[in-house]
Amino acid sequence: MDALYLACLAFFSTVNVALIMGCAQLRVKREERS
Amino acid sequence: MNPNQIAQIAFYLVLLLALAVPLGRYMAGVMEGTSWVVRRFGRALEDRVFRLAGIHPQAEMSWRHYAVAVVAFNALGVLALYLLLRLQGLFALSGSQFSAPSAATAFNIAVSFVTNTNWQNYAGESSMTYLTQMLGLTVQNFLSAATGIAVVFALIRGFTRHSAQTIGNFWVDLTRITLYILLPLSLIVSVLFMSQGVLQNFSEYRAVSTLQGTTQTLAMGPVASQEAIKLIGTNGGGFFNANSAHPYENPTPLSNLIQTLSILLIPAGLCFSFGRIVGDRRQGWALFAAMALALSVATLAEVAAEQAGNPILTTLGADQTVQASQSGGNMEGKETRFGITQSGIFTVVTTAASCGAVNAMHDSLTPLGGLIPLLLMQLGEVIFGGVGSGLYGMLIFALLAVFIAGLMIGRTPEYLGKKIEVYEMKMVSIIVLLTPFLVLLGTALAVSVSAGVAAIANPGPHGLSEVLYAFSSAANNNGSAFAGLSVNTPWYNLTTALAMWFGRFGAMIPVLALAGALAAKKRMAASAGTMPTHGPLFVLLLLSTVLLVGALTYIPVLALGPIVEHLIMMSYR
Repeated sequence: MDALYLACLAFFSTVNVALIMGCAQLRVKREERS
Repeated sequence: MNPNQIAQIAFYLVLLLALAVPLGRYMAGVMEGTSWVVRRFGRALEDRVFRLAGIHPQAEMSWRHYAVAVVAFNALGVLALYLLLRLQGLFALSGSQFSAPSAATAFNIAVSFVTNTNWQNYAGESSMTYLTQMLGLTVQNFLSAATGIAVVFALIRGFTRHSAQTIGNFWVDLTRITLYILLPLSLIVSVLFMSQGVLQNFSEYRAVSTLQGTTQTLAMGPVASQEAIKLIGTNGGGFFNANSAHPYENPTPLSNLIQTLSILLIPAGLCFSFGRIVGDRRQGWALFAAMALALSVATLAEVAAEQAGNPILTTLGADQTVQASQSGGNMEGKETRFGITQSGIFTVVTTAASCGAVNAMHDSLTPLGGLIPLLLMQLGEVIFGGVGSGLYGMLIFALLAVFIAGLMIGRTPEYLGKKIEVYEMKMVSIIVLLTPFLVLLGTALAVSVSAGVAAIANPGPHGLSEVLYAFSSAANNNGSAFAGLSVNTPWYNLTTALAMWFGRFGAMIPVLALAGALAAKKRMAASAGTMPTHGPLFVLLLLSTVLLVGALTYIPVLALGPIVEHLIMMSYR
C-alpha cells in the first residue's frame, strides 16, 4: 500500500510540474502573438 | 441579537485592528529587510541558516523556479511526514506509544498538514505520539504557513517590480517568515496559553478517579506549543480530537479570545503589509475594509441563527430565550464556558480564515448557522483567509473586479499601475474555477458511489451538507469538519487528499505565474481614466464580485443541503 500512496504523491507532483510548464507555455505563446 | 452580543463582536474587531496594523508594518519591514529586528538580531542568525542550507540569498528566482521550489519543497514535506507517520511505532521519546496509522490515513494526514488544511481523520490523543505531533505535525504547521506567506509576497513583488524577470527567492522568504514572524509570535502565544492552563508537558497519560468512582485516563502532552502555531498559521489541526473545544486546548474565555485573535492576526496584518509595500496604504485599508465588512455580516448572521435556536423545540415547550441562568438558543454541540456568541465568532473566524480549528461542533449548528461557514469556505477563503493564501485570493478577485469594471466602461483594466491583459485573466480564471471544480465534482462523485454514501451518518439534506462541507473544507484548505461523516476510509482519504493538494498548489502555481507576468510589465502612471482601487466604490465592487462568483457557483447545491434542511425545520413549527 505504501507504494500506491507514494505513486500518488509522484503523480500529484508531476501534474503540478505540467501545470507550471503549461502556464509558462501560455505566456510564451501570448508574447509571440503580441 | 442583544447589545451584549453586538458589543462582543465589535470588541473583537477593534482588538484585531489594533493588533493587525503594527504587525502589518512589522511584516513589511521583515520582508523588505528594513525592520530593526532583522538588522539588529537577524542577520547573523539568518546568515548561518543560509550557509548551512547552501542558500544564496542574493540569487533571485523566475516565477517558474519559484514554483518548482514550492512544489518540490512541499512534496518532500509530504514524503517526510508520511514516513514519520508510518514509522512512528519504531521511535522512542514518544510519550504514549501508538502504532503507525494505515497507509491511507498517513497519506491523508501528510497531504493535509503540508497543504495547511489540517483536515484530521484521526484523534490525536489516541493515535499520535508526542514525537509525531512535534516533529511531524507542528513542523509542517510552520512550513505550510510560511509557504503561503511567501507566495503572497512573491505576488506583491509582481505589483511593485517593473520590467523584471524575477519575483524573489523562495528559500530566503521561507527562512525570514519562519524566523522573524512565525517563531516569535508562536512563542508569545504559547506562553499566553500556558498562563491560561493549556498543557505543555511530556508526562505519561494520567489515570484519575472520577467523582462517580470510575477511572478515567487524562491525555497529556506538549499542547501549548502546537496550539499557538495551529492558530497563528491558520492550520487548525488540534492536539486533541475535540480541538479547541477541549479544556486542555482552550480552557478559558480569555484563551478563547486569544485563539480567535491569533487566527486572523496575520491574514489581517498582511493587508497592511501589502499597502505599505505597494506604496499606497489606502490599498491595504480597502482590502481590509472589504474583508472586515463581510466578516461582520457573517458573524452577526451566525450568532443570530444560533440564538434563534430550533423552533420545533419551542413548540414542544422548551424555553430558548436568553436568561441569567441560560444562554438560550441552540446550545447543542457548544461549550457552556463559551456560549453562543463566542462559539459563533469562532465558527465564522475559523471558516473565513482557512484555519479549521473549532470550539463548537459544526454538525450541530442550525441549518442556516451551518450554511454560513460552508459559504465562507466556498467563497474561496478570501475573507481574511489563510495566512498568505487569503490575501492572494483576494488580490485575484481584485483583478477580476477591475477586469469586470473595465469591460463595463470600455477601458483596459489596470490594477496598481499594471495593465491586466489576456494572460493575466487566464491565470485568474484557472484560480477562480479550480476550487469549485474540485468541490462540486468531489461532492457529486461521493454521493454517486457506494463508498461515498456509506460514510454518511445522517441521510437526506443534512447528509449532503456533510459531504459538501468535507470537500469545501478540503479543496479550500480549511480543515474543519461537519462531522457525521466517517472519512477515515480509503475513498475519502484519497479523494480529499487530491482535493487538498490541487486546491493548494493548483492555485499557487497560476498565482506565481501571474506574479511573473506582472513583474515583467511596465508600471503605468495613474491617469484620469484609472479606476481608483482604494475607495468605498471599489470595496463594494470587490465584495460584489466575490459574492457573485460564490453565489452563482454554489447556490444550487446549498439549496439542496442547508437551505432545504432549514425549510423542513420551519415546516414543523
